[in-house]
Amino acid sequence: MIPDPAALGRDRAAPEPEAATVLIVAASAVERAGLERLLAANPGIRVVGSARDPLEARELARRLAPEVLLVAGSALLPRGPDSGFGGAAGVGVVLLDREAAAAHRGLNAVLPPDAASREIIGAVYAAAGGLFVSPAPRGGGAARGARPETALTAREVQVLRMMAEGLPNKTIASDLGITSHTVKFHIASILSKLGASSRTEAVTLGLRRGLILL
Amino acid sequence: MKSQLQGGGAFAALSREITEAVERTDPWIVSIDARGGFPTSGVVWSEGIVVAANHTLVREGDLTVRFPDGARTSVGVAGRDPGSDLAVLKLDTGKRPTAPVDAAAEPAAGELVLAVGRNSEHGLRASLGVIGGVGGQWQTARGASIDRYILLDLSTFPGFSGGPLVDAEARVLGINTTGLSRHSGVAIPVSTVERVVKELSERGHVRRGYLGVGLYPLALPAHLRASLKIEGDGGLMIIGVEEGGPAARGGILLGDVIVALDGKPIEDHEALQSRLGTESVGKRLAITVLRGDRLVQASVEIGERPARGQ
Repeated sequence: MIPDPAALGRDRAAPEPEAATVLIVAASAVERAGLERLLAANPGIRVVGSARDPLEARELARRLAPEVLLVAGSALLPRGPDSGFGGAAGVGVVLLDREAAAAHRGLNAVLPPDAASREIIGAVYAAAGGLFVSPAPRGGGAARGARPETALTAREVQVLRMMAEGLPNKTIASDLGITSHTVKFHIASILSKLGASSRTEAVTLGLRRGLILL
Repeated sequence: MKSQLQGGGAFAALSREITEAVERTDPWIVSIDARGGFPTSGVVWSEGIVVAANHTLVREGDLTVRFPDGARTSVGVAGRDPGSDLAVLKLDTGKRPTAPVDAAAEPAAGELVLAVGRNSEHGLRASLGVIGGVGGQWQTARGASIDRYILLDLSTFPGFSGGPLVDAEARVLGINTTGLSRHSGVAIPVSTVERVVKELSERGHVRRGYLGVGLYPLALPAHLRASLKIEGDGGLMIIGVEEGGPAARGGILLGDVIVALDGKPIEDHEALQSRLGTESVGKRLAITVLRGDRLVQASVEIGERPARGQ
Protein backbone atom coordinates (compact mmCIF):
# COMPACT_ATOMS: atom_id res chain seq x y z
CA MET A 1 0.00 0.00 0.00
CA ILE A 2 1.54 3.25 -1.13
CA PRO A 3 0.64 6.07 1.25
CA ASP A 4 -0.90 9.17 -0.26
CA PRO A 5 1.95 11.66 -0.24
CA ALA A 6 -0.31 14.66 0.08
CA ALA A 7 -1.97 13.22 3.18
CA LEU A 8 1.43 12.32 4.63
CA GLY A 9 2.60 15.90 4.23
CA ARG A 10 -0.48 17.33 5.92
CA ASP A 11 -0.27 14.98 8.85
CA ARG A 12 3.20 16.11 9.97
CA ALA A 13 3.30 18.52 12.88
CA ALA A 14 4.31 21.94 11.56
CA PRO A 15 7.55 21.20 9.73
CA GLU A 16 9.78 24.10 8.75
CA PRO A 17 8.74 25.34 5.31
CA GLU A 18 12.27 24.86 3.96
CA ALA A 19 12.86 21.48 5.60
CA ALA A 20 14.97 18.90 3.76
CA THR A 21 12.56 16.43 2.12
CA VAL A 22 13.33 12.72 2.48
CA LEU A 23 12.03 9.51 0.94
CA ILE A 24 12.70 6.40 3.01
CA VAL A 25 13.41 3.09 1.27
CA ALA A 26 13.40 0.02 3.55
CA ALA A 27 12.22 -3.56 3.10
CA SER A 28 10.41 -4.06 6.37
CA ALA A 29 7.56 -2.01 7.82
CA VAL A 30 9.37 -1.92 11.18
CA GLU A 31 12.48 -0.37 9.61
CA ARG A 32 10.42 2.16 7.68
CA ALA A 33 8.53 3.21 10.79
CA GLY A 34 11.73 3.40 12.84
CA LEU A 35 13.56 5.59 10.36
CA GLU A 36 10.49 7.76 9.87
CA ARG A 37 10.16 8.38 13.60
CA LEU A 38 13.87 9.08 13.90
CA LEU A 39 13.77 11.71 11.16
CA ALA A 40 10.40 13.17 12.14
CA ALA A 41 11.88 14.17 15.51
CA ASN A 42 14.01 16.71 13.67
CA PRO A 43 12.16 19.88 12.61
CA GLY A 44 14.61 20.53 9.77
CA ILE A 45 13.67 17.29 8.01
CA ARG A 46 10.36 16.31 6.42
CA VAL A 47 9.65 12.71 5.40
CA VAL A 48 7.57 12.84 2.22
CA GLY A 49 7.04 9.12 1.84
CA SER A 50 8.44 5.63 2.16
CA ALA A 51 8.95 2.74 -0.22
CA ARG A 52 9.60 -0.99 0.28
CA ASP A 53 11.52 -1.80 -2.92
CA PRO A 54 13.56 -0.15 -5.69
CA LEU A 55 10.63 -0.03 -8.14
CA GLU A 56 8.34 1.71 -5.71
CA ALA A 57 11.20 4.00 -4.70
CA ARG A 58 11.76 5.05 -8.28
CA GLU A 59 8.06 5.70 -8.79
CA LEU A 60 7.71 7.76 -5.59
CA ALA A 61 10.93 9.66 -6.21
CA ARG A 62 9.56 10.77 -9.56
CA ARG A 63 6.24 11.88 -8.09
CA LEU A 64 7.38 13.44 -4.82
CA ALA A 65 10.77 14.85 -5.91
CA PRO A 66 12.44 14.38 -2.53
CA GLU A 67 15.85 15.99 -1.96
CA VAL A 68 17.23 12.90 -0.26
CA LEU A 69 16.70 9.14 -0.46
CA LEU A 70 17.49 7.28 2.76
CA VAL A 71 18.04 3.68 1.69
CA ALA A 72 18.36 0.78 4.17
CA GLY A 73 20.51 -1.76 2.34
CA SER A 74 22.30 -1.58 -1.01
CA ALA A 75 19.91 -4.18 -2.51
CA LEU A 76 17.19 -1.52 -2.38
CA LEU A 77 19.08 1.11 -4.37
CA PRO A 78 17.12 2.02 -7.50
CA ARG A 79 19.42 1.25 -10.44
CA GLY A 80 19.68 2.06 -14.08
CA PRO A 81 20.05 5.20 -16.15
CA ASP A 82 16.49 6.34 -15.49
CA SER A 83 16.65 6.05 -11.71
CA GLY A 84 17.03 9.80 -11.62
CA PHE A 85 19.52 10.24 -8.84
CA GLY A 86 23.13 9.67 -7.89
CA GLY A 87 24.55 12.58 -9.83
CA ALA A 88 25.47 15.97 -8.42
CA ALA A 89 22.37 17.53 -9.93
CA GLY A 90 19.99 14.75 -8.88
CA VAL A 91 18.66 13.45 -5.61
CA GLY A 92 21.02 12.99 -2.65
CA VAL A 93 21.36 9.42 -1.41
CA VAL A 94 22.24 8.20 2.06
CA LEU A 95 22.79 4.46 2.27
CA LEU A 96 22.71 2.38 5.44
CA ASP A 97 24.75 -0.73 4.74
CA ARG A 98 27.43 -2.89 6.31
CA GLU A 99 29.32 -3.19 3.02
CA ALA A 100 30.57 0.35 2.79
CA ALA A 101 31.83 2.82 0.26
CA ALA A 102 33.79 1.65 -2.77
CA ALA A 103 31.04 -0.15 -4.68
CA HIS A 104 28.67 2.78 -4.30
CA ARG A 105 30.25 5.77 -5.93
CA GLY A 106 27.96 8.72 -6.28
CA LEU A 107 26.27 8.14 -2.92
CA ASN A 108 26.40 11.13 -0.60
CA ALA A 109 27.01 8.99 2.47
CA VAL A 110 27.26 5.34 3.45
CA LEU A 111 26.65 4.65 7.13
CA PRO A 112 26.68 1.36 9.04
CA PRO A 113 23.14 0.03 9.83
CA ASP A 114 23.76 0.67 13.53
CA ALA A 115 24.67 4.34 12.97
CA ALA A 116 23.54 6.70 15.71
CA SER A 117 20.46 8.80 14.93
CA ARG A 118 22.54 11.98 15.01
CA GLU A 119 24.83 10.49 12.36
CA ILE A 120 21.88 9.65 10.11
CA ILE A 121 20.39 13.13 10.61
CA GLY A 122 23.77 14.74 9.91
CA ALA A 123 24.16 12.70 6.73
CA VAL A 124 20.63 13.58 5.54
CA TYR A 125 21.34 17.29 6.04
CA ALA A 126 24.63 16.95 4.21
CA ALA A 127 23.05 15.05 1.30
CA ALA A 128 20.29 17.65 0.98
CA GLY A 129 23.02 20.24 0.64
CA GLY A 130 24.77 18.22 -2.06
CA LEU A 131 27.70 17.30 0.23
CA PHE A 132 29.54 14.00 0.37
CA VAL A 133 30.42 12.85 3.87
CA SER A 134 31.85 9.80 5.56
CA PRO A 135 31.33 8.65 9.16
CA ALA A 136 34.07 9.63 11.62
CA PRO A 137 36.09 6.91 13.30
CA ARG A 138 34.54 6.35 16.70
CA GLY A 139 36.22 7.66 19.81
CA GLY A 140 34.99 7.82 23.34
CA GLY A 141 35.27 4.07 23.86
CA ALA A 142 32.30 3.25 21.65
CA ALA A 143 33.25 -0.11 20.25
CA ARG A 144 30.91 0.19 17.27
CA GLY A 145 32.01 1.75 14.03
CA ALA A 146 33.02 1.16 10.47
CA ARG A 147 36.73 1.03 11.27
CA PRO A 148 37.03 -0.44 14.78
CA GLU A 149 40.77 -1.00 14.40
CA THR A 150 41.38 2.73 14.24
CA ALA A 151 38.91 3.76 16.93
CA LEU A 152 40.58 5.39 19.91
CA THR A 153 39.61 4.24 23.40
CA ALA A 154 38.09 6.73 25.84
CA ARG A 155 41.42 6.94 27.66
CA GLU A 156 43.31 7.53 24.44
CA VAL A 157 40.96 10.36 23.49
CA GLN A 158 41.58 11.86 26.93
CA VAL A 159 45.36 11.61 26.47
CA LEU A 160 45.12 13.04 22.93
CA ARG A 161 43.17 16.05 24.23
CA MET A 162 45.83 16.66 26.88
CA MET A 163 48.54 16.36 24.22
CA ALA A 164 46.64 19.02 22.28
CA GLU A 165 47.00 21.33 25.26
CA GLY A 166 50.76 20.84 25.02
CA LEU A 167 51.03 19.05 28.35
CA PRO A 168 54.18 16.97 28.87
CA ASN A 169 53.92 13.23 29.62
CA LYS A 170 54.77 13.82 33.28
CA THR A 171 51.81 16.15 33.76
CA ILE A 172 49.45 13.87 31.81
CA ALA A 173 50.54 10.97 34.01
CA SER A 174 50.04 12.78 37.32
CA ASP A 175 46.67 14.26 36.26
CA LEU A 176 45.32 10.87 35.19
CA GLY A 177 46.91 9.05 38.11
CA ILE A 178 48.88 6.69 35.86
CA THR A 179 52.60 6.15 35.28
CA SER A 180 54.63 7.93 32.59
CA HIS A 181 55.26 4.52 31.12
CA THR A 182 51.54 3.97 30.63
CA VAL A 183 51.20 7.43 29.08
CA LYS A 184 53.92 6.54 26.56
CA PHE A 185 52.08 3.31 25.81
CA HIS A 186 48.84 5.24 25.17
CA ILE A 187 50.66 7.75 22.95
CA ALA A 188 52.29 5.00 20.88
CA SER A 189 48.85 3.46 20.36
CA ILE A 190 47.33 6.86 19.45
CA LEU A 191 50.08 7.54 16.89
CA SER A 192 49.66 4.13 15.34
CA LYS A 193 45.86 4.30 15.18
CA LEU A 194 45.88 7.78 13.66
CA GLY A 195 48.81 6.98 11.36
CA ALA A 196 50.77 9.90 12.82
CA SER A 197 54.54 10.14 13.03
CA SER A 198 54.71 12.74 15.80
CA ARG A 199 52.69 14.22 18.66
CA THR A 200 52.12 17.32 16.58
CA GLU A 201 50.78 15.32 13.67
CA ALA A 202 48.57 13.28 16.01
CA VAL A 203 47.03 16.49 17.36
CA THR A 204 46.43 17.81 13.83
CA LEU A 205 44.82 14.53 12.74
CA GLY A 206 42.79 14.38 15.97
CA LEU A 207 41.42 17.84 15.23
CA ARG A 208 40.47 16.87 11.67
CA ARG A 209 38.64 13.81 12.92
CA GLY A 210 36.71 15.81 15.45
CA LEU A 211 38.27 14.01 18.42
CA ILE A 212 39.67 17.25 19.80
CA LEU A 213 36.90 19.75 20.41
CA LEU A 214 37.24 23.39 19.47
CA MET B 1 82.43 56.44 6.16
CA LYS B 2 83.70 58.07 9.32
CA SER B 3 84.51 54.78 11.00
CA GLN B 4 86.54 53.70 8.00
CA LEU B 5 88.84 56.63 8.54
CA GLN B 6 89.42 55.59 12.16
CA GLY B 7 91.79 52.77 13.08
CA GLY B 8 90.76 49.26 12.06
CA GLY B 9 88.39 50.07 9.23
CA ALA B 10 84.80 48.97 8.72
CA PHE B 11 85.28 45.38 9.89
CA ALA B 12 86.70 46.43 13.25
CA ALA B 13 84.00 49.04 13.62
CA LEU B 14 81.29 46.48 12.94
CA SER B 15 82.87 44.12 15.44
CA ARG B 16 82.94 46.84 18.10
CA GLU B 17 79.31 47.67 17.48
CA ILE B 18 78.29 44.04 17.79
CA THR B 19 80.22 43.66 21.04
CA GLU B 20 78.62 46.82 22.39
CA ALA B 21 75.15 45.62 21.43
CA VAL B 22 75.72 42.35 23.30
CA GLU B 23 77.05 44.24 26.35
CA ARG B 24 73.95 46.42 26.41
CA THR B 25 71.76 43.34 26.86
CA ASP B 26 73.77 42.16 29.87
CA PRO B 27 71.79 43.88 32.67
CA TRP B 28 68.43 42.27 31.84
CA ILE B 29 69.24 38.71 30.78
CA VAL B 30 69.08 36.13 33.56
CA SER B 31 70.12 32.51 33.77
CA ILE B 32 67.56 30.00 35.05
CA ASP B 33 68.39 26.59 36.43
CA ALA B 34 65.25 24.53 35.94
CA ARG B 35 66.53 21.24 34.56
CA GLY B 36 69.42 20.02 36.65
CA GLY B 37 72.65 21.52 35.44
CA PHE B 38 71.61 22.77 32.02
CA PRO B 39 70.76 26.40 32.61
CA THR B 40 68.50 28.28 30.26
CA SER B 41 67.93 31.98 29.57
CA GLY B 42 65.26 34.44 30.64
CA VAL B 43 64.53 38.12 30.11
CA VAL B 44 63.60 40.68 32.79
CA TRP B 45 60.56 41.83 30.85
CA SER B 46 59.13 44.26 33.37
CA GLU B 47 59.47 44.91 37.09
CA GLY B 48 58.87 41.63 38.90
CA ILE B 49 58.42 39.59 35.70
CA VAL B 50 60.92 37.29 33.99
CA VAL B 51 59.94 35.67 30.68
CA ALA B 52 61.37 32.29 29.66
CA ALA B 53 60.70 29.47 27.20
CA ASN B 54 58.14 27.03 28.62
CA HIS B 55 59.79 23.87 27.31
CA THR B 56 63.07 24.64 29.08
CA LEU B 57 61.45 24.87 32.53
CA VAL B 58 61.24 21.18 33.32
CA ARG B 59 60.73 21.68 37.06
CA GLU B 60 57.59 23.33 38.36
CA GLY B 61 59.13 24.79 41.53
CA ASP B 62 62.49 25.48 43.12
CA LEU B 63 63.96 27.18 40.07
CA THR B 64 67.11 29.21 40.60
CA VAL B 65 67.27 32.55 38.82
CA ARG B 66 70.72 34.14 38.57
CA PHE B 67 70.95 37.84 37.90
CA PRO B 68 73.91 39.42 36.09
CA ASP B 69 75.04 41.00 39.37
CA GLY B 70 75.45 37.55 40.89
CA ALA B 71 72.28 37.62 43.03
CA ARG B 72 70.25 34.40 43.12
CA THR B 73 66.58 33.85 43.82
CA SER B 74 64.60 30.65 44.12
CA VAL B 75 61.12 30.83 42.52
CA GLY B 76 58.30 28.72 41.05
CA VAL B 77 56.67 29.04 37.65
CA ALA B 78 53.84 31.60 37.82
CA GLY B 79 52.28 30.68 34.49
CA ARG B 80 52.86 28.57 31.41
CA ASP B 81 51.56 28.65 27.86
CA PRO B 82 52.61 25.53 25.95
CA GLY B 83 50.85 26.99 22.90
CA SER B 84 53.31 29.84 22.46
CA ASP B 85 56.09 28.12 24.46
CA LEU B 86 56.27 31.05 26.89
CA ALA B 87 56.40 30.96 30.69
CA VAL B 88 56.41 33.67 33.34
CA LEU B 89 58.27 33.81 36.64
CA LYS B 90 57.25 36.34 39.26
CA LEU B 91 60.04 37.49 41.51
CA ASP B 92 61.54 40.57 43.12
CA THR B 93 63.69 42.12 40.39
CA GLY B 94 64.46 45.15 42.54
CA LYS B 95 65.68 48.25 40.76
CA ARG B 96 67.30 46.28 37.96
CA PRO B 97 66.77 47.51 34.41
CA THR B 98 64.14 45.84 32.25
CA ALA B 99 64.49 44.89 28.60
CA PRO B 100 64.01 47.70 26.07
CA VAL B 101 61.33 46.26 23.83
CA ASP B 102 60.45 47.58 20.42
CA ALA B 103 56.79 46.73 19.92
CA ALA B 104 56.63 48.78 16.72
CA ALA B 105 59.64 47.07 15.13
CA GLU B 106 59.14 45.74 11.61
CA PRO B 107 61.77 43.02 11.33
CA ALA B 108 62.78 42.25 7.74
CA ALA B 109 64.35 39.21 6.13
CA GLY B 110 68.11 39.64 5.98
CA GLU B 111 68.26 42.09 8.90
CA LEU B 112 71.36 41.54 11.06
CA VAL B 113 70.33 40.34 14.50
CA LEU B 114 71.81 38.85 17.64
CA ALA B 115 70.49 36.01 19.76
CA VAL B 116 71.76 36.40 23.32
CA GLY B 117 71.55 34.04 26.26
CA ARG B 118 73.13 33.57 29.66
CA ASN B 119 74.85 30.43 30.80
CA SER B 120 75.23 30.63 34.60
CA GLU B 121 78.97 30.80 35.20
CA HIS B 122 80.14 31.60 31.74
CA GLY B 123 78.22 34.79 31.26
CA LEU B 124 76.59 35.89 28.03
CA ARG B 125 76.50 33.89 24.85
CA ALA B 126 75.75 35.52 21.57
CA SER B 127 75.08 34.39 18.05
CA LEU B 128 75.11 36.74 15.09
CA GLY B 129 72.94 36.02 12.13
CA VAL B 130 70.12 37.32 10.03
CA ILE B 131 66.38 37.09 10.14
CA GLY B 132 65.87 34.21 7.74
CA GLY B 133 62.33 35.13 6.87
CA VAL B 134 59.32 37.05 8.09
CA GLY B 135 55.69 36.04 7.65
CA GLY B 136 52.27 37.02 8.88
CA GLN B 137 50.22 35.63 11.72
CA TRP B 138 50.63 31.89 12.23
CA GLN B 139 49.21 29.10 14.31
CA THR B 140 51.46 26.87 16.39
CA ALA B 141 50.82 23.14 16.46
CA ARG B 142 49.37 23.63 19.93
CA GLY B 143 46.83 26.17 18.84
CA ALA B 144 48.41 29.47 19.86
CA SER B 145 48.23 32.37 17.48
CA ILE B 146 51.56 34.15 16.95
CA ASP B 147 51.30 37.64 15.49
CA ARG B 148 54.27 37.34 13.16
CA TYR B 149 56.50 34.57 11.91
CA ILE B 150 60.18 35.36 12.51
CA LEU B 151 62.51 32.65 11.24
CA LEU B 152 66.05 32.72 12.61
CA ASP B 153 69.20 32.08 10.63
CA LEU B 154 71.82 31.85 13.37
CA SER B 155 73.21 29.16 15.62
CA THR B 156 70.94 27.94 18.36
CA PHE B 157 73.44 27.39 21.16
CA PRO B 158 72.39 25.42 24.29
CA GLY B 159 70.36 27.62 26.63
CA PHE B 160 69.37 29.88 23.73
CA SER B 161 65.61 29.39 24.20
CA GLY B 162 64.07 32.08 26.40
CA GLY B 163 66.76 34.59 25.44
CA PRO B 164 66.08 37.71 23.39
CA LEU B 165 66.47 38.40 19.70
CA VAL B 166 67.90 41.91 19.48
CA ASP B 167 68.52 44.32 16.63
CA ALA B 168 71.61 46.42 16.00
CA GLU B 169 70.45 48.91 18.65
CA ALA B 170 70.13 46.09 21.24
CA ARG B 171 66.36 46.47 21.29
CA VAL B 172 64.30 43.31 21.81
CA LEU B 173 62.51 42.07 18.68
CA GLY B 174 61.27 38.88 20.30
CA ILE B 175 61.97 35.87 22.52
CA ASN B 176 63.82 32.99 20.88
CA THR B 177 62.80 29.36 21.09
CA THR B 178 63.55 26.08 19.43
CA GLY B 179 60.40 24.60 21.00
CA LEU B 180 57.87 25.64 18.36
CA SER B 181 59.43 24.24 15.19
CA ARG B 182 61.34 21.05 14.75
CA HIS B 183 63.36 22.51 11.92
CA SER B 184 64.64 25.85 13.12
CA GLY B 185 64.61 28.45 15.82
CA VAL B 186 61.95 31.13 15.71
CA ALA B 187 61.44 34.36 17.63
CA ILE B 188 58.09 35.10 19.28
CA PRO B 189 57.40 38.75 18.45
CA VAL B 190 57.10 41.37 21.18
CA SER B 191 53.37 41.97 20.67
CA THR B 192 52.61 38.26 21.23
CA VAL B 193 54.93 38.09 24.26
CA GLU B 194 53.19 41.09 25.84
CA ARG B 195 49.76 39.58 25.30
CA VAL B 196 50.77 36.20 26.72
CA VAL B 197 52.68 37.72 29.66
CA LYS B 198 49.61 39.74 30.64
CA GLU B 199 47.42 36.59 30.66
CA LEU B 200 50.01 34.47 32.44
CA SER B 201 50.72 36.98 35.18
CA GLU B 202 47.01 37.57 35.79
CA ARG B 203 45.73 33.98 35.50
CA GLY B 204 48.61 31.53 35.23
CA HIS B 205 47.30 30.24 31.91
CA VAL B 206 46.21 31.65 28.57
CA ARG B 207 42.48 31.55 27.93
CA ARG B 208 41.35 30.26 24.56
CA GLY B 209 37.93 30.52 23.00
CA TYR B 210 35.81 27.37 22.88
CA LEU B 211 32.72 26.24 20.98
CA GLY B 212 32.51 22.66 22.24
CA VAL B 213 32.30 21.02 18.83
CA GLY B 214 34.16 18.31 16.92
CA LEU B 215 34.65 19.31 13.30
CA TYR B 216 35.37 17.58 10.02
CA PRO B 217 36.77 19.61 7.12
CA LEU B 218 35.02 19.34 3.79
CA ALA B 219 35.02 20.92 0.37
CA LEU B 220 31.84 22.74 -0.62
CA PRO B 221 30.35 21.99 -4.04
CA ALA B 222 30.73 24.88 -6.48
CA HIS B 223 27.00 25.17 -7.22
CA LEU B 224 26.22 25.64 -3.54
CA ARG B 225 28.96 28.24 -3.09
CA ALA B 226 27.63 30.12 -6.05
CA SER B 227 23.92 29.93 -5.16
CA LEU B 228 24.45 30.83 -1.49
CA LYS B 229 27.31 33.28 -2.12
CA ILE B 230 29.70 31.47 0.20
CA GLU B 231 33.16 33.05 0.03
CA GLY B 232 35.36 30.10 1.02
CA ASP B 233 35.96 26.81 -0.79
CA GLY B 234 35.52 24.69 2.29
CA GLY B 235 33.71 24.43 5.59
CA LEU B 236 33.78 22.51 8.85
CA MET B 237 31.02 19.99 9.46
CA ILE B 238 29.90 19.55 13.06
CA ILE B 239 30.32 15.86 13.88
CA GLY B 240 30.19 16.22 17.65
CA VAL B 241 28.50 18.72 19.96
CA GLU B 242 29.30 18.98 23.65
CA GLU B 243 26.02 18.91 25.56
CA GLY B 244 25.35 22.27 27.15
CA GLY B 245 28.49 23.67 25.50
CA PRO B 246 28.68 27.15 23.91
CA ALA B 247 27.72 25.95 20.41
CA ALA B 248 24.83 23.80 21.69
CA ARG B 249 23.46 26.78 23.67
CA GLY B 250 23.67 28.88 20.52
CA GLY B 251 21.46 26.43 18.60
CA ILE B 252 24.20 24.80 16.51
CA LEU B 253 23.15 21.29 15.42
CA LEU B 254 24.97 18.14 14.39
CA GLY B 255 25.43 18.14 10.66
CA ASP B 256 25.67 21.94 10.40
CA VAL B 257 28.62 23.10 8.31
CA ILE B 258 30.40 26.19 9.64
CA VAL B 259 31.26 28.47 6.72
CA ALA B 260 31.84 31.84 8.39
CA LEU B 261 32.45 33.51 11.73
CA ASP B 262 31.39 37.15 12.07
CA GLY B 263 31.08 37.31 8.29
CA LYS B 264 34.61 36.12 7.59
CA PRO B 265 35.00 32.74 5.86
CA ILE B 266 36.09 29.72 7.90
CA GLU B 267 37.50 27.04 5.61
CA ASP B 268 39.57 24.89 7.95
CA HIS B 269 40.49 24.20 11.58
CA GLU B 270 43.40 26.64 11.48
CA ALA B 271 41.13 29.49 10.43
CA LEU B 272 38.71 28.73 13.24
CA GLN B 273 41.46 28.36 15.85
CA SER B 274 42.97 31.69 14.89
CA ARG B 275 39.58 33.31 15.57
CA LEU B 276 39.23 31.66 18.96
CA GLY B 277 42.01 33.54 20.75
CA THR B 278 41.91 34.99 24.26
CA GLU B 279 40.05 38.09 23.07
CA SER B 280 37.13 35.96 21.81
CA VAL B 281 36.26 34.53 25.26
CA GLY B 282 32.89 35.79 26.47
CA LYS B 283 32.08 37.54 23.19
CA ARG B 284 28.92 36.82 21.25
CA LEU B 285 29.80 36.01 17.66
CA ALA B 286 27.66 35.32 14.60
CA ILE B 287 28.35 31.89 13.17
CA THR B 288 27.08 31.16 9.67
CA VAL B 289 26.28 27.51 9.08
CA LEU B 290 25.10 25.58 6.07
CA ARG B 291 22.07 23.58 7.22
CA GLY B 292 20.69 21.38 4.48
CA ASP B 293 20.74 23.64 1.44
CA ARG B 294 20.45 27.03 3.11
CA LEU B 295 22.51 29.32 5.32
CA VAL B 296 21.49 29.84 8.94
CA GLN B 297 22.91 32.46 11.32
CA ALA B 298 23.54 31.37 14.89
CA SER B 299 24.62 33.67 17.69
CA VAL B 300 27.07 31.93 20.00
CA GLU B 301 28.65 33.24 23.19
CA ILE B 302 32.22 31.95 22.98
CA GLY B 303 33.20 29.95 26.06
CA GLU B 304 36.60 29.27 27.56
CA ARG B 305 38.42 26.13 26.49
CA PRO B 306 38.52 23.83 29.51
CA ALA B 307 41.98 22.86 30.74
CA ARG B 308 41.74 19.15 31.37
CA GLY B 309 45.20 19.11 32.81
CA GLN B 310 44.27 21.42 35.69
